[in-house]
Amino acid sequence: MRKELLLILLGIILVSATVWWHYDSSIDISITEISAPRTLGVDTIRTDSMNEIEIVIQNNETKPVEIKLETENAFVDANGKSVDTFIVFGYDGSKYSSYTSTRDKITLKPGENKVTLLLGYKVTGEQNVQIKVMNNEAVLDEESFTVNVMPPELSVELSYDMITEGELEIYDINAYILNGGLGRAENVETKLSIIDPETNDVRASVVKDIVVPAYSKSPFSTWQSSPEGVIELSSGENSDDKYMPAKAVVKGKKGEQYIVKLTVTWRDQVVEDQIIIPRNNSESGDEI
Amino acid sequence: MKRAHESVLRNVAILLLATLFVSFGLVSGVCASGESVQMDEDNIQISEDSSILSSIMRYFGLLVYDDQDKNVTRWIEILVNRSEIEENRSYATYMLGDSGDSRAAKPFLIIIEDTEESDSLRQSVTGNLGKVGNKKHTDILIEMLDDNLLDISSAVSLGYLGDKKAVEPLMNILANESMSENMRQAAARSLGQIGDKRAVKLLIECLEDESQYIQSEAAWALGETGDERAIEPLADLLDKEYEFAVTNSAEALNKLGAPVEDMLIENLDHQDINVRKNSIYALSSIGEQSSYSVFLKIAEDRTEYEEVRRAAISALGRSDDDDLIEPLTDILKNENEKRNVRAIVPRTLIDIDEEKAIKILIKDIKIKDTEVRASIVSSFRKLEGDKEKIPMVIEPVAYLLLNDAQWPVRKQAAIVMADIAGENASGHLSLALNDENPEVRSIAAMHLAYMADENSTEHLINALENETNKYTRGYMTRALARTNDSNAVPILVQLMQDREEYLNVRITAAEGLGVHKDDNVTKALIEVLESKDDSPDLRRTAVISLGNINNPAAVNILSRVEADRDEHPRIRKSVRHALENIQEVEVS
Repeated sequence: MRKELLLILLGIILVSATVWWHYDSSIDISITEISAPRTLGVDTIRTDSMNEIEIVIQNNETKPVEIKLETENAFVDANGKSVDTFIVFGYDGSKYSSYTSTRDKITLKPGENKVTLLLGYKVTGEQNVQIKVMNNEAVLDEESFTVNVMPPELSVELSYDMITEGELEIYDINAYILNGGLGRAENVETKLSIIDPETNDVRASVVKDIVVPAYSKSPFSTWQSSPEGVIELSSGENSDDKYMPAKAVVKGKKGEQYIVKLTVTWRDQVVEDQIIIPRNNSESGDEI
Repeated sequence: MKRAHESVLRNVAILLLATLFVSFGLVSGVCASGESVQMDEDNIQISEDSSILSSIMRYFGLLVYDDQDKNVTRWIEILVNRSEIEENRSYATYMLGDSGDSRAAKPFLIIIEDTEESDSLRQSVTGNLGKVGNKKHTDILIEMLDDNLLDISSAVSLGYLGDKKAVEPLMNILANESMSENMRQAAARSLGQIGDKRAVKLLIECLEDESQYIQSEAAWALGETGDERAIEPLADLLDKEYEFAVTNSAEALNKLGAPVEDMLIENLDHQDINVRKNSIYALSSIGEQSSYSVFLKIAEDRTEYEEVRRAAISALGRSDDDDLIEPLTDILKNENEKRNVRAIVPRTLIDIDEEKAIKILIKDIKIKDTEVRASIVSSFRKLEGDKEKIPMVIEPVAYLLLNDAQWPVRKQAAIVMADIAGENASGHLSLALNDENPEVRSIAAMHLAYMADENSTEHLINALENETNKYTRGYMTRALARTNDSNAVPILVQLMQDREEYLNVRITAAEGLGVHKDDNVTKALIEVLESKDDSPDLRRTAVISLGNINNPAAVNILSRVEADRDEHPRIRKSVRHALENIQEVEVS
């Protein structure tokens, strides 16, 4: 009987020790600083993205301690749901050498530890970011801050170059999408149409998904050597040239004009511009 | 010159002395121990540790391999230096493996065990361990066959090591169809390198494996085993569809002494064009001279399929028989011939006889067909490094670069010019920056970026005024930045500051400014860094350039950014690096 009591007592001590160890929040670890821009651009998690925060965590214990960083709204998907993000290591002045998920434990050495966490937002607006330093189930410290996630600011540019080959005038259409905002625009649906102004019929068109990074300008054509749209006007026979890899090609006669329209759509942002090619009839050489 | 002669004479004298000592040492060593001297690694180890002979051998080795010795030391230094970029460390790994020098084994093992090293470096080092290691490393590599990251590299390495102890583990891998194709391929090749007959039965079975890659590796390996049991199953593979399975089988059969040539020539009449084509490749790979007359017949046969004729013409390039030049030139000149058949001829002509080919090709450089003309120009890339022959083609290629009516020809001319003419190409390429075709301009700019020639500055600046293509502008900017010409600075500043400019161009310009220790450059970079409403990537590049310039005038602004907790952390980190750079320079 005495032996059984002893065993029960030992069991209770063991369970208590486990529970105490699991929920022990007496470990002296705290967040001392969070360095973060208060305004970020909409962007997914990418290793070459600038969206990140640096957290300084002080470990006042005498030995390394394993922790997990639990985050809320550090990475928010397109549905507005908070998901796990990544911790990056080994910055050499231009890039990081490795990364790990916030699901994984990291080790804090005694003293000051700088941890870089990637942020990513597929939605715009204000986000309340929460960071918890966890040791097993115990919260050792937590901090929160807000970031304002900005959208891209899109605009478009259209122009053309004309070259003459015998009786042909070939108009190469140049189209650009500009982003004057901090947000990165991915999956920008971009449509280039060549329209007959008399009938309003779309004679040729091409649609592409384009990425426009923050504060940048992206050409519609991904090919180095070719435009995506070509208008060939001839005073005689048109050529057999398919103008590959251009996808929107219209062949007509000198004296004709076409409306070239560029429409870009990113979520609720719709921007468009149009030009007439040739700008005036006299440019094509024949007065009408 | 005199000193060089003296040095050569001194080395010869030392070599003779060392040879005498070595001969003496070998004889006395053998007499003393009664053991035979074999060139396997363990015996070398014993002799190195045992007598005066070892020091003589070491000295002799150092004398002969003095350059290699220095190189090995240098490659090891690069490999173990963690601040080196990974590309250099990987290259050092390759060079060390290639040297076969056993001193590399220890640093290799340290990197393999260090899990903080990058995966790719550890894989590369593991793959090369077998080239520098010895039997002591067999167990380590066998153990690593179970490592998810290093398994394939270990299998490869075991082949180089050649220790028969690895045969069974490698056979287990090859026999296990649930293993990855790459892993099984590596095991098959290594079994071939080890050459143990225990593996022959399994390798023969693998000739019928579902994977054509396993089939071809097994075929190659069987050739290494020297086992005649493989002849019949290898012969069955000669009419298969996969080119490497056929060529490897042919090579293996050749090594085993089978009449493979007859079998392959018979297959040249096979109804399947792939079999005919593969038979040509296989005959070519076993280097049978008598096949060339057959290849020429196929090349001239206008009823044969284009692909087969191209294979035959290409195979003729392995011959050095000048009699082939005339019939091949006839094919090249014949306007009624198929374009793709004609286009393969120039390279073959150069392979057969460079000098004669150049004379013929330069004469025919005005051939009407654009693709054939482009192929002639492109064939001159084969002359890369041949200082004697290159001057013969520079002028005609330069003429085509600037005057040919068709851009594909001009493009090939730009590529060839950059490849073969080296720095002498920069004048021609600078002129090509005005080409009407953006691809030609882009190639010219890309190669000018490597040449860093100050004389191209003006051409680049003019070309940038009109260029609209994003990538071409990027290359032009890079080329301009690399001229290190102070005249380029105002343009680079302008490109960096222009918000209407492509971001890649702005960033390239900001990078390029990092070598100009000019107060105006520092000021412009500081302005970019201060513009919080500009691209963070550009601002970070400006910081890196400020750090490279090391101008103390930037310390204030950098310190301010470093203290700004609202700033992008990555910009702050780059600022810390930049400040460290500047402080280091100040201290020194």
